Amino acid sequence: MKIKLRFFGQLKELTGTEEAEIQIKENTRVEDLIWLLGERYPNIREFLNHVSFSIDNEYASKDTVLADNNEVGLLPPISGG
Amino acid sequence: MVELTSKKISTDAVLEQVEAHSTGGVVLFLGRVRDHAEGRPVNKMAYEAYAEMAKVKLAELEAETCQKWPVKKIYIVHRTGLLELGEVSVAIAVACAHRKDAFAACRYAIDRLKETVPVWKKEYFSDGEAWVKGVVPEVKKATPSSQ
Repeated sequence: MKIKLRFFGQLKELTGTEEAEIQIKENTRVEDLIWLLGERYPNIREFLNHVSFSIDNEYASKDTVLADNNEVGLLPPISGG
Repeated sequence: MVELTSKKISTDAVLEQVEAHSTGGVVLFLGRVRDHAEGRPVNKMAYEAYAEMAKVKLAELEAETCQKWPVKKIYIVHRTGLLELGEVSVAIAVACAHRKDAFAACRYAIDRLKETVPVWKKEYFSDGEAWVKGVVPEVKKATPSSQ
């Protein structure tokens, strides 16, 4: 199955990417995805521990299991206002 | 009502959104681009949002604020894009029957916005630029989207 990734802020700059797709196995959790992302985007590896994740517009904990066609946001610490 | 916009925010238009004869107290909060950050002069500021999610979170914020205080009208708007000094980046107008509730609700809304709405800002200095150090949003334990 596959999921869509969205990159923001510094992560968008570092990866040079706004959106991407990634193939995952069934029962992949957000914390497994972090490892996959580190492999695919080595230059954001050091940031991934401080990144929050969203799934389909809701903040998601690291033990959340991903589903096919989820949209996963990689969110640096937020600074709106 | 809540909005995310790339256009200049007009305070008159914001106040029009909360007109109601039943309200005797209106509090307007404006966040503006400041000319300094931690002692360094700032020239301009860029705001980036995860638009789809920011709209969801702004709507939740509106609902939450109205649940906690007797709000008659509320309008929250956040700007995106490149902003010059003094431009309004966020505006929150709250109209209640009485001022005490309006002050409290408006204060809550702006504080909570900074903790929940996925927006990022970058400061531009004369000799470079930097993303503003942000806050890590809290995660609710339930994650219904994946179940």
